[in-house]
Amino acid sequence: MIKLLLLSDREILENFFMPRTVAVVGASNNPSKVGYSLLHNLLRSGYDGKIFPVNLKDEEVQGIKAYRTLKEIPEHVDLLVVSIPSPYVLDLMDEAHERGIKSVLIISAGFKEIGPEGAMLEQKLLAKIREYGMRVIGPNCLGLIDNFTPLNITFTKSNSKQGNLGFVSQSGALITGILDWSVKEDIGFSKFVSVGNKLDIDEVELIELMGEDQHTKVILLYLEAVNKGREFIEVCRRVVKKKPIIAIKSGTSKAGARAASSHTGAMAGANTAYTTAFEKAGVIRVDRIEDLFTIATTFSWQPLPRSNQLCIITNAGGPGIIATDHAEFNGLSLAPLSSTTINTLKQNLHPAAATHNPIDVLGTGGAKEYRISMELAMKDPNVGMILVILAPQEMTKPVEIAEVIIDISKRFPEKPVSVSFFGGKEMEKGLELLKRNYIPAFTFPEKGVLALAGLWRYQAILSRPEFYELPREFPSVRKEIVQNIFDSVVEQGRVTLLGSESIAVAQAYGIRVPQTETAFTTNEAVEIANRIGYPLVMKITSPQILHKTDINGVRIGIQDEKELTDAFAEMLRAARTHFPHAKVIGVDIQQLAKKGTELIIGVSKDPQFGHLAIIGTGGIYTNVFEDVQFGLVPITHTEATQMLEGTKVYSILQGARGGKKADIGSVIETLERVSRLVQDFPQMVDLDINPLFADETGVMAVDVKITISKEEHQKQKQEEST
Amino acid sequence: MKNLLIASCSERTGKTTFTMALLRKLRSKGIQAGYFKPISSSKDDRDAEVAKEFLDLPEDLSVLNPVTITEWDYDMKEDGIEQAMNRIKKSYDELKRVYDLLVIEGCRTINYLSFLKLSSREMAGMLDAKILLLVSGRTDAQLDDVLLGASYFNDAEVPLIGTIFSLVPPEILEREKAIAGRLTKTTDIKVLGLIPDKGVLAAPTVDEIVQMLNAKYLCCEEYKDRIVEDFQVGAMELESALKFFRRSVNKAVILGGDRPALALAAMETDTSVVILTGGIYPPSTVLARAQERKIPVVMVQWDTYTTVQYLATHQVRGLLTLDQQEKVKEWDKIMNEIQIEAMLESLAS
Repeated sequence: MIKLLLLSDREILENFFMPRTVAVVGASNNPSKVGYSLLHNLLRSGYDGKIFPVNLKDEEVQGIKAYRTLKEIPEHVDLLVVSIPSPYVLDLMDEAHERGIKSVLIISAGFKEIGPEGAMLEQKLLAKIREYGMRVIGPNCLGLIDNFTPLNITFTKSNSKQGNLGFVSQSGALITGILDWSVKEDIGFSKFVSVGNKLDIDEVELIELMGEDQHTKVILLYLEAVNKGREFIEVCRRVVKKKPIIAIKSGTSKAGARAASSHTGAMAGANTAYTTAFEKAGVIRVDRIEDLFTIATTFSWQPLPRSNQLCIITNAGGPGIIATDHAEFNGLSLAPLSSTTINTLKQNLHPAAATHNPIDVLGTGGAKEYRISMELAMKDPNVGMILVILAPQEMTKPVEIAEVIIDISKRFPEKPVSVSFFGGKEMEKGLELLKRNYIPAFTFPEKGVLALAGLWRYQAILSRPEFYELPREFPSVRKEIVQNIFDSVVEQGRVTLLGSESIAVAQAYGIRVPQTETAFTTNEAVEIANRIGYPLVMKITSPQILHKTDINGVRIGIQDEKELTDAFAEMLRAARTHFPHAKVIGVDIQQLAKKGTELIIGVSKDPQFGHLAIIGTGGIYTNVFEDVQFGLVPITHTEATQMLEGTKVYSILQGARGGKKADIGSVIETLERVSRLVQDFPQMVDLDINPLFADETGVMAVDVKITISKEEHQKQKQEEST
Repeated sequence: MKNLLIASCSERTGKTTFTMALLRKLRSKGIQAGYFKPISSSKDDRDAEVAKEFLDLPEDLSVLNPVTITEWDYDMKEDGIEQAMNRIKKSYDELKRVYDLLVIEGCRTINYLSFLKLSSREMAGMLDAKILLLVSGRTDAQLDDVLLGASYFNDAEVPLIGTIFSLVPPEILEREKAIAGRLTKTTDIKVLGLIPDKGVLAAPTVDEIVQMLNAKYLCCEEYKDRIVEDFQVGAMELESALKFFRRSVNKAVILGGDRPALALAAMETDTSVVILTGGIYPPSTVLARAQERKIPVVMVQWDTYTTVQYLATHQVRGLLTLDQQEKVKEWDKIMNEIQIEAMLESLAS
């Protein structure tokens, strides 16, 4: 027993897939029960460890000696499988703890997916397993498969073939469908896990585990929501350096988000956050289940390309053009063939054949033409990948050509190949032969392109500089100033900062801001104005008033004291009229900044992935232009640069149509400083610098809005004090 | 035996809650201090009841608050007035025997019932009490209230020991302190303290709102003592919801029961209660998440507009009760800043 208590986290996790002993609580002789299928599948999966069915009534279950309780089992249990009604699960955990069991797979439903009672039960379960140091997959899941152990603890009907794809799914039904389909398509898996409600273990741990699993070459995910967003990104970034991760995130449409949220009880985050997070994590995202496997099988069969330069070899014009279009849609280019290639092709192909990319061997082209073309493309340094298209023409001999493709591919294993045998009955044998020889082969050319594009997307991820880069440090930032402002704001019972407070926060992080002070009386306004000097900007300030321009609460270019005092009275009167219940209303008196190109830099905290930053066209029409690029904090110098370069306003900053080139370096640095600011102060939930003026002399943040979370602020304070 | 009457120039300055907090402070200093509200203006007035519970007072409610006179009783006959005064005196005599210091809560404003000669001014004269004037400190114009109050009591030779600025926006607290200094300098009226306007000091609890709306708990009733500082209506696009909900803390969010996604977004932020309107039951995911986040979800039959209108016209009063630990703690902090010693000195002189 003592030895067992010393299991490492890794061993507890591995026990789910390679247990020496498995106990199935709820194992049944009744074929209509889940507990029947679980044991049945386990028995026929070829598992060679010990199995202990636990059943209150029967002495034997499916021919194996059964035990009434866990206590009666004579040996230590590595993995406990639970398939009993949810109200009994809690007590079972006590028994399991007494037996020193650490790995628990809970199939049972009836937890948070059914409502508040279930949610409460699930919370109690979580508290219990934490107390006992147990790890749980599920509840409300379909189970798991490891085809190398081998072991199948699911309640599906289908078998699963051994292969090198690892699959993690948040939907159980999707798994049953895919397993059944995979048998037909001859696709094999290393591990297959249904995570259910993700009470404890979720995709994050499983990706890490599969990342180190020698039998898994590609990791596939079906996700409805990611709960531990930051960890997800961190782990994926680590794992994708070793093997690709391909994911479907459902619930990306508005209606879909609703369906997903009512499905497993997870709050689906904004689609933008997911897109940005997958990008940052280096995860290849696809929209269709079929694409997931098209790309995945290509990964497991073909090498990675050195470039995105595609060479298309075809015997028909139409399919070649379609493939060309799709290459462009998917970020591939058509390789300019070298003169050697072109000249040799000219010498060997029919005079009417196209010797530029796409290479068209014509309908008369047979095995010989395909062989020459493919061999030349393989040898051509300009070509990174090859798509072979064959349409059924009179002379076409699909099997013969398939053999050529297989042969060349074997002789030149460093360049990836995919194939489209464009037809039906006539092509069947050729397609089969190709697939048997690990050449991704499809009926339609679009898919052939997609397969190669997937390889390139992964290669591009691996060669990203920002993947290996740390965010820049800014040693002169004044953390204590920001801390004091936040403390006083929270102490005053607020979460939104006044304009002058926000400006001070930005300034503390080295962001250029105009001098700003708040006045509550006319006299104070005059005093401040004399200190700052005219011309000035005046802005209404109140924690209750957020859109100042809507109530004429911003005056620009105040020239003298007369204008100042008149405007002061007018603005306060207007604000009082529009917001009679506003607790406090004053006026920010601000130095007038020289107008530059108007940008926006903002950050909003996503519940799953943390701070999501934007940069783009600012001013009052930000929402109209929607010219913004997104990135997840921490943002590196390269990422900040790429974000800015992705906006339309970037060309204006560069001096489009004879304008002066703005200080782009300062714009990028401002974004990096904002990233550092919210990293240092995670209690900041919303920050908007709009507008940020940019011109040739630098940038100026003329309006800053900040919202913090009281809960987070207090948490941060607590963490600091301990 | 010293008597202190807390009076106010306007309603809703937080008189009752301040009185409770003051008494708690005085008693913690070992002073035998009691509560007395001679007249209330409504049968529904629960002030004395709350005081009895909060301070654990042994007296009957009929002693703590012997008389009720509403706005519709101004045609009261002489003998009615006399009867009321007798009852007040009787209560007072009873309390006098027990306490060294009686804190008397004035009814509504300083001049309420002055036509019947039963306003705070007459009360103070009759009960030999000195006045502490509570004024709303929202704007600098409260200074006028102080002067008005001072001269009103001065006319009857009722001594004023000082004033307290209540409801001062925390953002201008320092400024208001300077103004208080100027007031004392020019008028000799002592400003004995400033109370910042923080939601937590006066906020009602979830349950107080639920009772008022006659709403039904769908889950998490065990968290009904959470305080509600603000109200937000969930009527926006899902995309901007988080940003909007984040700008408010300890809030009640009112939205249609057919907008579960918005309810989920609200629960990601600092929300005290979700009020679902239209009598539409939410999907179980909403209630499951509420359970995880410890946020009560309640349902009303009214539509959103009616609910909001009702809340706007029936302001809920947040009373100070012992089960609201956060509120009690905040008030204790505030009372430490009030010049209690100066107050006691003025009472003794």
